[in-house]
Amino acid sequence: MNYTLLTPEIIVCCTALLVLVVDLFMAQGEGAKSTKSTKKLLGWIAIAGLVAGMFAVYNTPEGLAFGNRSFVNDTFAMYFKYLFLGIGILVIVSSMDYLAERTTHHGEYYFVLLLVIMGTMFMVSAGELISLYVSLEMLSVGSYVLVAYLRTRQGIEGGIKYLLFGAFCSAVLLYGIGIIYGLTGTTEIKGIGEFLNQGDKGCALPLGLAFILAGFGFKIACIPFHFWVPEAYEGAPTPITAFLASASKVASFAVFIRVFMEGFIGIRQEWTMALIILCILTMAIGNLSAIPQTNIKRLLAYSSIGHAGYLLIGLVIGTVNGLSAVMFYLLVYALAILGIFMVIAIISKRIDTDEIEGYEGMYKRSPFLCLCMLICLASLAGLPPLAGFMGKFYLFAYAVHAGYIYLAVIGFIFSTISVYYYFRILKSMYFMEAKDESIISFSPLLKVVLILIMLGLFLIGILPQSFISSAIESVPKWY
Amino acid sequence: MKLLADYMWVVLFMGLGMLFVFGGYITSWLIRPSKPSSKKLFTYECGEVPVGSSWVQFNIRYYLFALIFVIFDVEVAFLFPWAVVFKELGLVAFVEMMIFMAILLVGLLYAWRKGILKWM
Repeated sequence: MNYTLLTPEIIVCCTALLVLVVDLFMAQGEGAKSTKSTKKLLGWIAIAGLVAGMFAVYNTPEGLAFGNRSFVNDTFAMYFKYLFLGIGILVIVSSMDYLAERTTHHGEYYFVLLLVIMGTMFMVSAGELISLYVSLEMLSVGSYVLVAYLRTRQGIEGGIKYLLFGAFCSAVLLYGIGIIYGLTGTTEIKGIGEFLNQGDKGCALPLGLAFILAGFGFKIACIPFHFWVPEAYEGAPTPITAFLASASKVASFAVFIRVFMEGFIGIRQEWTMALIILCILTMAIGNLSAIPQTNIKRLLAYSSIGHAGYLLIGLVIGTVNGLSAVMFYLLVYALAILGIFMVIAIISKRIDTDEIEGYEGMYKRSPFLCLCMLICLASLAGLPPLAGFMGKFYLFAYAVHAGYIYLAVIGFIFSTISVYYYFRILKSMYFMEAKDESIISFSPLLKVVLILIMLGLFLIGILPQSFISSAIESVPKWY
Repeated sequence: MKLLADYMWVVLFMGLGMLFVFGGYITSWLIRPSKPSSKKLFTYECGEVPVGSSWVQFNIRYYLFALIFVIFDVEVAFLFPWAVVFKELGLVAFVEMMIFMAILLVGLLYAWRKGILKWM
């Protein structure tokens, strides 16, 4: 037993409980002024907890917490924990502004959000299927609540769809885990890998693989399992949409990598073909469905499905280089998508709609927000010299290197198509006439954070070397 | 061809699964005695004669009380095995259980501060 390995998670959990208790004892004064400062305080406590969590991740040694592999702290997990804590901070900064006038229940919101972040951290550390499943549920259940948090019509619709689909897919995943356990006699991913390498495979293996693939496919939102995505993204409070598009997807890809590369790598030929088909379908349908969308959050939902398609290329490659490209891409994708949703959250506070029409003439109302949107969208589309370009470059280059030239070509074609719909947003922001020309103002904190995101996108795009090498170092030597 | 042969097992598995469900229905339909009566169509209400429709509104507070009850019910279910092996596990187990109970107590605290425990 080595509890020190759990320090980051314990800190996040304690922060969550602290936020709830502080909210209970401070929100009693119903005076408008005191309540407002209390709400801000809750956000700051949450941010402080996440920053402390980052330091704790830095100081935590590698190892196994409970002797078995139910909690593994390796470089792979630590890379993602930094990412989740960073995403958490940005989401809370955005929420503090977004929630201010929309709800009075702030304590519960930060409480659930912090627990969900804790769930993602446990997820990437799970080296065993049961603890993986439990932490995945910790992420899912919290997400259902947060999607419907504002109790708007669309929010509840999105939440219900997400819940029904999620419950079904997690049942399927659990069934798959059960079959794999029945075949191999162990739930430890490493043990499964060793068992399957011996060549003694049971007949139900394809069934178990297919079920597990479906369960993960739901979480990463790849094509046949994507029906919840547009509704949940549209209905959720915008910072939560940002969280679903970044942290939830990143965590799901992390466990996808761990299970398939550590556990099922010995039987690659059984699932590579299925993955290639899913990958091509996801790129095609995700990007093509984004074109006719008129709601900006739905458009980005479909585009995030398309991005899951590019990321699957890295899993098809399945080498250390391919996986490091996925990890690098997840970093730059999360940064850009968070920037975009922060801008949307600020603007939606003023124009009260998420339709692209509402963004007409935004250039006159806030040049800064438009610049931010431009840079983040250009990074998502993969234009040089931004980070998104390097992400796609590594992914496609390693695909060519590994002999999957056709995947790189298809990926390139669809990322060119994606430029079209990203620039539709920019067109309405820059080249259309504004109906209302009032200036959109927002807090200096948000401005600083947005500047940092833009600088980050440029920095990673111009000097990607240190980031990609840290990703390569974080890929464990599973082979 | 090998792939096809592998998936044959999947088909077989699905077939057996369906057989298991529908086979049960069909067998029971074949061998059970059939004596329909109007009383058998009554709503089941713990053996009592049902009064009124089941679509009645009831106070949401019943639900909240039940929820809080379940939390502590489960807590007690965990306390029993803990108490049995308490001597062997020693201090660590004590601290762990206290942390567990503290987290549940936050739930009670929440219910109390939100006024759920007040019956109106």
